Amino acid sequence: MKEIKFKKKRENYLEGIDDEFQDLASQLSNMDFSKGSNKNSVLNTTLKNINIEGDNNMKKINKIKKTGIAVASLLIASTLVAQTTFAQVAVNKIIKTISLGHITMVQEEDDELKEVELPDSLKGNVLDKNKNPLEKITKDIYAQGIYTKDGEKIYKIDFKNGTIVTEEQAKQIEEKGKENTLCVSDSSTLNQYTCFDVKLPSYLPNGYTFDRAEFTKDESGNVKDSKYAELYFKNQKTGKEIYMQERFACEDTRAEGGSDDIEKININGVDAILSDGKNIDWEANNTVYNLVGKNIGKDEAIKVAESIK
Amino acid sequence: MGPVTVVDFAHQNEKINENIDKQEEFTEIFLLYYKRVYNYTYYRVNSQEVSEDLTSQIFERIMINLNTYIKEKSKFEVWMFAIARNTINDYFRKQKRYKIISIDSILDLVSKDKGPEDLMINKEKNNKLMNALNVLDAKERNIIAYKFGANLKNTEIAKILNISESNVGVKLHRIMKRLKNEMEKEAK
Repeated sequence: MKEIKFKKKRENYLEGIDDEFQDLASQLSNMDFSKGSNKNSVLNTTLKNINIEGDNNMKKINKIKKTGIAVASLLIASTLVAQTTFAQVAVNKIIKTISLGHITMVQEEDDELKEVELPDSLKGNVLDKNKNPLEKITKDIYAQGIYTKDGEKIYKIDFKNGTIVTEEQAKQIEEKGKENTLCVSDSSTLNQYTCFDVKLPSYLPNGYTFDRAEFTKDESGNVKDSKYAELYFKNQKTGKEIYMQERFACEDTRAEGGSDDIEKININGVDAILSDGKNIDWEANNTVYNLVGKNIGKDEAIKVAESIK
Repeated sequence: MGPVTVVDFAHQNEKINENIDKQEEFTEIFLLYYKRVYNYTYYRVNSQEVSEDLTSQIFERIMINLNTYIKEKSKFEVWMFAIARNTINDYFRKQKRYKIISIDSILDLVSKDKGPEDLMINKEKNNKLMNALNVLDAKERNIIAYKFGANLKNTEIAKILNISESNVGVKLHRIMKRLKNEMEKEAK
C-alpha cells in the first residue's frame, strides 16, 4: 500500500521542493493566470511589432497612433516613460517627433480634455477639499487636493481598476522602494556600479552640489554593471534638486516620451531634445543623458548639459 | 506539464520565404512558451494589463535577439527567461523613474500603471494564496515566479541568477516556509 501512495505522490511531485511544502507548491504551480489573458491579441501585437522592426521611427509612430484615446493632457509629464506606460496614456495627434539614437520624443496635440470622469465605483467616494462628493475631476480641483471619505488625502487614482492610493500609502510605497535602491554619496566611485562611464557635469548652478547617485539593486541585492545611474544634485539652502539620469545606450534602455512642447537643440555638437523648455535629452559617449531642469530653467539646464564632457 | 520543451531552430537559416518562415517560427515559439512567460510575468507584476503588455515585449525581444542565442552556451529556457527577467526589471526601473517625475508634477491622476508598489495595495482579496504572496519582497517573488510561473528547474534558476543550485534550494525553502506561515496566519 505504501508503495502505491508513494508512486501517486511522485506524479505531481515538484522537483527541488521539500516534502513538507509539496501541497503548497502544487497549488502555486496550478495557478494559471494566462487563462484569463488575451493570448491572441498579445500574439498579434507582437507580430505587428516585429514585422515593422526595420523602420524604427515608423514603428514607434504607428504604435502610438494605435493606442487611441487618452487623457494625456492631464498628465503633466515631459518625461521619458517606459514605452508600456506611455502607450497606456497616449495620445491624440502627433504634431512633431524628434528621434535621436535611443531616445524619441513626441509632441502631441493638446487635446481639450480638461476633466476626467470618475469610475462609477468611486463616485461619491472621492471628495473635494470642502467635502463635496465629486463625479468629475478637473485640474483645478485636483490641485486643491482631493480626499477620501475618511478625510485622507488622495495621492492618485488608478482609473483602470478604480482604486485609490492615499498620500499615506504612497509614502509607505516610497519607503518600500528604498529597500531596493542603493544610494552612493561618493561621486568618485560611481563607475564601480555601472557598465558605462558615468560623467558628472563640471558646471552646476550656484548653490548646487552633488548629493547622491541611486542604483536599483538586482535580485541578489547587489549593483553591478548597471545600465542606469540616477544622479541628484542638491541646493542645500533651498532643498531643491536637479535630477539626471544617465544610461548606457542600447536596445534595453531605448525610451520614448511625450511632451507638450519639444524642440531640437545642440549640446556640444550633437543633437539634443529640449522638452517643455527645461528638460534635455541627448546621447553622447554611448550614453543617453536626461536632465530635468525643473528647478533651474532652460539656460542653466543647457549650461549644465554642456559641461558634461 | 513538462518543463522541457524543445524548439527546432534548424530551419532558421533557410532564406526561402524568410518572412513567412519567421512568422511561423515565431508563432510556434510563442504558443509553446506563452503560458510560462505570461505566468512568470503575472507572478511578478500582478496585473493582467501590464502582464499582457510585458509578455508581448518579452517575445519581441526574444525574436529580435533569436540569432544571438547559442545552443551550446545555455538552454533555451534559461536564455529566454533571462530576457524576460530583464524586460520586467527594466519596466520596474522605468516605473520608478516615472514616479519621480510624477511626484514632482501636480497631476498624476490618470496613471493606469500598476507598479510593483501596487501589489501591496491591489491585493486580490478572495485569494489567500495571492495575499500570502504579497508579503514577499521583489527578489523572493521573482524566485517564486521562476519556479511556479515559468516552471523552471532549480538548476535553471541557478544559472539565470548566477548562484548555486543549493542556494536556490535554500532560498526556496525559506520562501515556502514564509508563505505557509502566512497562509496559516490568515486561516486563523
